[in-house]
Amino acid sequence: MASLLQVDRVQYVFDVDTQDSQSLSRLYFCIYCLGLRSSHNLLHEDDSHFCPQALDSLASAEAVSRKNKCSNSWRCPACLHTLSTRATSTISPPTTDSNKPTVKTVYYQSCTFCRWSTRSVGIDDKEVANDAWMEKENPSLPRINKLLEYYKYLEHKEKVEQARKSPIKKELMSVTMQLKQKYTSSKHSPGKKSMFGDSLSGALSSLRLKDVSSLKDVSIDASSTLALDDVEKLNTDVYKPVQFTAMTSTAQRLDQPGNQIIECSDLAPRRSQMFMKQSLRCKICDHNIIKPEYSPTSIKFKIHLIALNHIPDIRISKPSTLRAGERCQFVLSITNPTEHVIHATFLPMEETKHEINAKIELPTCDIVVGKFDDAAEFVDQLTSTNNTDDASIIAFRRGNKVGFYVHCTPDPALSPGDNVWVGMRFKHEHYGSAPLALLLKGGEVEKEPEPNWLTHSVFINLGKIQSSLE
Amino acid sequence: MLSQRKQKTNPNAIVAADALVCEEATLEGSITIGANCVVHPKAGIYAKDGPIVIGQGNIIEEQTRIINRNPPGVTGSSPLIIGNCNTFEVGSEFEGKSLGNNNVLEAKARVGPNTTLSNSCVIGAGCHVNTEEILPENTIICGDNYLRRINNDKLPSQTPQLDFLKKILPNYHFLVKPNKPA
Ligand SMILES: [Zn+2]
Ligand SMILES: [Zn+2]
Repeated sequence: MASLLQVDRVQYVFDVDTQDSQSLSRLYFCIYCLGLRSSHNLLHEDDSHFCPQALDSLASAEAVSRKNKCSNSWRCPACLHTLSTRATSTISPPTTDSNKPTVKTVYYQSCTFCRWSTRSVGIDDKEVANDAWMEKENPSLPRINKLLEYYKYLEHKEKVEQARKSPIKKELMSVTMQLKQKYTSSKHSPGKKSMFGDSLSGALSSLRLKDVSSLKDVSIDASSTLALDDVEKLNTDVYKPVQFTAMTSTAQRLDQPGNQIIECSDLAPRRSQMFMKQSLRCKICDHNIIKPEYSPTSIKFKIHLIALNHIPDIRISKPSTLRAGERCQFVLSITNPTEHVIHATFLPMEETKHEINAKIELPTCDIVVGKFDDAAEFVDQLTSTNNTDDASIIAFRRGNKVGFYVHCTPDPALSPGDNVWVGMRFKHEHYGSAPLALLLKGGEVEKEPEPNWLTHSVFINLGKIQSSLE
Repeated sequence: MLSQRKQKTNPNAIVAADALVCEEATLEGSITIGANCVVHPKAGIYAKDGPIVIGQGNIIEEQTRIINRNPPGVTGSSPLIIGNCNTFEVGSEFEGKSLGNNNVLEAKARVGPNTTLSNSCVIGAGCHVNTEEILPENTIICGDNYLRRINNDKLPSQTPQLDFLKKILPNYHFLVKPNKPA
């Protein structure tokens, strides 16, 4: 069975209290407080917004005020591909001033993928290549603005009352304040494109707290309701056969949630949405864990502390047939990503909230794992074989990867198809963080550092119980 | 070279005077190629069960296959008539009943024997169409979901591309000599 990419089968506990666990490949490692971090317990900060087509970047505040949309790049409303601007020359008929017909260049937008063009929906050609295009306005915009004004009013009102009572505590923040935070700063909505909230966030960002005394009452009209009898009768046109080439698809409608266009003839180009570069920060020590380079053309990172670069990776190397109550043998592998030889010691799992339904027999001695070496793949692998290895424990040894045997006995009560989970802890020394941390702070490295010993709890899904017939 | 010479001697292939047919193209059976057409090397036109008549100004790119073949259980030799100014992009395949004017078969598109294309239709890259129908004019089919749309805009003209090819191709390829009776 291919378990090469089944990274979720080995789960590392990143939160000791809640026993929350995740695949190592999705975790980060704080080299300052020496702990695994998941994206949920890191602070997300948006560094910059950028357009992957036009490759221009904007500061967050500016991006919010532009509703997170790129000013130079447009999207096809029919297939959501990027539109390209086409130039063509037209001959306009002679005017009264001159008798000769004039030739001028006009621009229109067309999709190279689905051949949709602004001409096909009757949008006039423009005489300048950029800045002449307009997005269709959301028909509900006046209502949204009205509501925003009302919420602003409510917010002020609440703030005045809060100030009278007690200083605002974060936990007791009012709903409108939370809404404002959610939609005005993207710190709290990491990585998500704000599809629904873009017009909302744009308008909200323009709101700033003003002097309370300038507050004036705002009232909004309740949305109108109709009695069933007053509802407009169903148009008999709906029983006509649907001309589906003239109707928009669901994907096209949902692409423009503000004005869900029903007929293809109403499609209009949309501005491309900006993407975000975000950095992650450890909540405990306030250090950056992930910091991308600012430039939108670069895909590199200034700081890139992912767990896979620091913590040994345990994988299932060779699965085996699992039957309830029967002892079987597995090969697990441990890969050392660091430039130091490490000694891994395996320990039994303590009390855990996680479901464990098999007993595991772990190697009782230390396992020495070689260091990561860039050149290793060019060197004859056999030379690195350690002949002192106990063949009953070590299955194979390749550079910085060691395979070792474990035995497992699933609970007799399990039935075929049940997932078998085992738990274990392992301890290894961790070098290099101190000098690396020093380097990042700009200090000098003096001597070989003392290792820290780290202990990780790991849950492994060994596979499913097979039926005894097979 | 021998296999290329063979085409010259295909007595049933009639090539108009200013059509540009590369020698490395395969012409099989009774084929008429109209004026101003460009047939790239390694394109294949197979008139198996009936003649193929190709109009003017068509571009037939590499690896294209145009086939006139009877569906199982059908006999007779009805001609496959292809109109003017159609573009068959790289790797496309047309086995349909007939084709009007100004159609585009994008790369790797395929039209099966049940479908007829009218005029100015576009079969998008990789789309395989074999429904029992005559596609209305200006139909565009594209994408994974074969989304259909009626295009209200004219498709861009292929004339610049034709002119370019007619200038470039003779520099690098042997051409089939036109043999259309005057
Ligand atoms: Zn498109
Ligand atoms: Zn930290």
